[in-house]
Amino acid sequence: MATLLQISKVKYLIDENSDECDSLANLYFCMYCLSLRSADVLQHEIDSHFCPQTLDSLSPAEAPLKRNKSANSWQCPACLHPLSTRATSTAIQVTDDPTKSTAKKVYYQACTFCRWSTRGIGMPDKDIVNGAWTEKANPDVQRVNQLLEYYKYVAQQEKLDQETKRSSKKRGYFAVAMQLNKYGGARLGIGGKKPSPLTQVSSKLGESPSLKEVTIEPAKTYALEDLEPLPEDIYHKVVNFAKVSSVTQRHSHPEHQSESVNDFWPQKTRMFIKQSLRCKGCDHNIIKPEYNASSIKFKIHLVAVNQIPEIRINKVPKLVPGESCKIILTLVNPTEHVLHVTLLPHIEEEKTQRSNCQVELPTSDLVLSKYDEAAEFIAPEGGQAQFEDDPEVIAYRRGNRIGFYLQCTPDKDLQHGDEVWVTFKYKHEHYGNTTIVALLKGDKQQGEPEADWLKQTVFVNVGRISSS
Amino acid sequence: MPLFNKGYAFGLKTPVVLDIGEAYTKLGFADEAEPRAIIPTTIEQVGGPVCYIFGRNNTALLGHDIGSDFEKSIKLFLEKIYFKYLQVNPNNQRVILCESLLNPTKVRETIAKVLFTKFDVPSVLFAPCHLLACFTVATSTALVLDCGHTESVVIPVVEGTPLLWAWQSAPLGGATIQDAIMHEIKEKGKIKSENENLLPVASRLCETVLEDIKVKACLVTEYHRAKQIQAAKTLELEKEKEATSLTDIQRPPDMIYPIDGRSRLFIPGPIREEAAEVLFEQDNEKMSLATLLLDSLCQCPIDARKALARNVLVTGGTSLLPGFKHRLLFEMKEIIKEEQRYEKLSECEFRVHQPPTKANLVAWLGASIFASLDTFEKRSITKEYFTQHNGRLPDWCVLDIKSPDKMPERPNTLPTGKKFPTSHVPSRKSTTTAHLDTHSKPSK
Repeated sequence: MATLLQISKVKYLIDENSDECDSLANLYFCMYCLSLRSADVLQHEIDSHFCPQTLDSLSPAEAPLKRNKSANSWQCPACLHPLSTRATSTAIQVTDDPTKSTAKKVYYQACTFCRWSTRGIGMPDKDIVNGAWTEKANPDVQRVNQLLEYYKYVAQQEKLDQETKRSSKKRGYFAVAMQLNKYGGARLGIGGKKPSPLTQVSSKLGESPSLKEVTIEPAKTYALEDLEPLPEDIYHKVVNFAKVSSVTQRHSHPEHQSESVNDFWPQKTRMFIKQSLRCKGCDHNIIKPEYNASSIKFKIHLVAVNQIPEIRINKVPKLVPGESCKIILTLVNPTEHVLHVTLLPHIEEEKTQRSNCQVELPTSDLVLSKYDEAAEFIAPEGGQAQFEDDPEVIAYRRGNRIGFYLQCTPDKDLQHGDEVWVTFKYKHEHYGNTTIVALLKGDKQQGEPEADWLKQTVFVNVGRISSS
Repeated sequence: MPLFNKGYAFGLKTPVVLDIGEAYTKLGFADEAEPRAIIPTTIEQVGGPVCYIFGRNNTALLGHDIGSDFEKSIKLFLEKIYFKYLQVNPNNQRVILCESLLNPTKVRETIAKVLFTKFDVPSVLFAPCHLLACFTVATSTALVLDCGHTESVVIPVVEGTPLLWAWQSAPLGGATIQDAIMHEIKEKGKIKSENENLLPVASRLCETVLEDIKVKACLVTEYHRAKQIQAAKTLELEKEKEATSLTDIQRPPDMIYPIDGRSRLFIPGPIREEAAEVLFEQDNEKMSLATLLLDSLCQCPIDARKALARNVLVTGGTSLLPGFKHRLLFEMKEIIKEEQRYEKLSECEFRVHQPPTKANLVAWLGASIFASLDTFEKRSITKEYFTQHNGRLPDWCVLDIKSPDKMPERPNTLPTGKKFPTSHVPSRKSTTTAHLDTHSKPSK
């Protein structure tokens, strides 16, 4: 939680070259490249689709075919809340005897949030729970398909023309006829005019046996007289804002965009996705969720907070320009190894100057004990004795975290209210890779795992200058 | 229907079709009749307000340097499109974007840069939306009006080539109507709060409320009615008193709009028909939507005018207002009769198209049709081309950049002003039809 509260205060340099930095909570750690990665430089991939209501999952190949819509879950067209299926019984007349009637179970859909129901728009009730519900079809789909077919033909014709033009270089009557055909043919479809005899001849000449000509009837156009003016009574009607659909409601059905709430139709819920992240440098997965939609676990979960010792701000005294003061920073070890951390000064180039404070770093190594899940329940005194702490450096030690002093002097030219940034580097051991490799190889012998030394640059906003 | 079942044909290669509008973005896949979703062109910031990427208040676009901030917001927005709505891996799909021909080069290049570098798309094609609209009505010649959120642009398309020198545009659109509504409400509207006090509307209502009122209540009134209202208004102004000269026509009754949960906003009825009048009232320069079309037609070659007039195509979300097309045609007819400057158009017969989709989706549908063709791949700009040319795209004034070294330097700043800098005003010289041969001519 402390990390999340200081998200804009403690920032880690991601890439030496690009000078980008971010909070550790937002970063990932590629354990193959051994470096921090931000979400920007990772490859985002879609792992699996799932329905948020029924938790059915689909593979990424299947889902787009079903328009990323869930099979059995529907949403309210008025408020986009999931619809629930209601069962009720109606009396139907027995065919043999008109005086008798039997009860029959039927189903309809209703929104528990805004009370919209399929009965309200006059949709007939269904006999079965699932499967009988359909979405309203696009009324223009036939014409669009004609257009698609026609233009595919035109494109193919064009391609063919170019090929023939390339192959026949001689210029004779034939080539002229081909040219004519090109323009004549294109007009044929649209204008609906009768082609001239020459074009007819040439079109026969140039016609390829493989290509069937597709024609399309020209689109209808309307003159002023054909258009209906608005009905006279529209000006005198009182507008009931609840009866007209809003923009969001219209846009949730792009193909209908019905203006009246009476034309609403239930709609399938859009699926959600699970994303995995991949390092662009080495193509290894950084984040890989479990396929099962109901699981919130990960197969691979390389976030930086679990790998890199983290700096937090603990206690900052009043900051006065030019006056030295002692601040306490906390260092937390998230790994299951004892870590040695060395603080190093950060030498900044002119252009990337971010710090405005002189720091005196402790020269001795800081030793961090390992993270222990049970530590909270064991008496805290136990662990502390094994480390010999210099009270000048270490402010406190509690489990896997220590507090250390940092002597810092804000620059003299800072004004009241200016932010004070402290910059330094630290070097720490990293064990993650070797242990996992050993595990993968199946090595039973637990020798001393090899450690890599990693260097992090950190920018800490320790607070604002207060007037002296 | 194509030869095979669409379900089977949906491969990893199906191009993504994006129409990024100023207010709403339409997104989906090629070869389909309707987009998968229509979403507002916004990004949500953590703890901050919703930000319209191309909005009027977005400082990232207004400034001299539309660098990293704009790029970041485009990236966030595309992330939302790909992972929330389209749900496909961006590195497999080609992309087609509908763009206005007046789109600043910097904006399109930033979008291309983000698509290529952050999302690794194989290829991108920017196609002019006016041309794409023609695909939906199977014509190669049309006079296309795109009436969008902040502006309306007319570009005639003749035989598959947009005649860019005959372009006309005006800052008339949905946002103008919303401003008109706000203006009227501030003057005459009243809010009745919980304790039954009538208060004037003090602060600006939020854009979503104004949009809601526009969409639910507004309509484009009939020509004769509009003229009567206009005449009555001028009379009122002259007399400078509360004249009740509008008695001869019945005005729409007042409306009650629920606001903030417990208060009610009383909206004067005439707003319904008067708000959209801003589109048709001629301003000081005698400019309205109808004159845009007529002016554009006057600049077209004389032998194409009749064909263009017979093929008027109206696109853009604002044209969905009830009565829009009727009024537009009526207005054009009357203006030609009245005004001397349009006398040469008196022979033309105006006919308007009805595309097989809603007016706000026309450009998207055209792009969907175009991207389904075999020729689409050839016309796209590949990632290789983009990196070789240092992130520059072919343009209607820089046609095909052959050698990467000989590219002219471009200043890094945008001229001050809004989305469409004045340096983009095309002249007869700079516009050639060859540009469209390079990347956007329909396959005829």
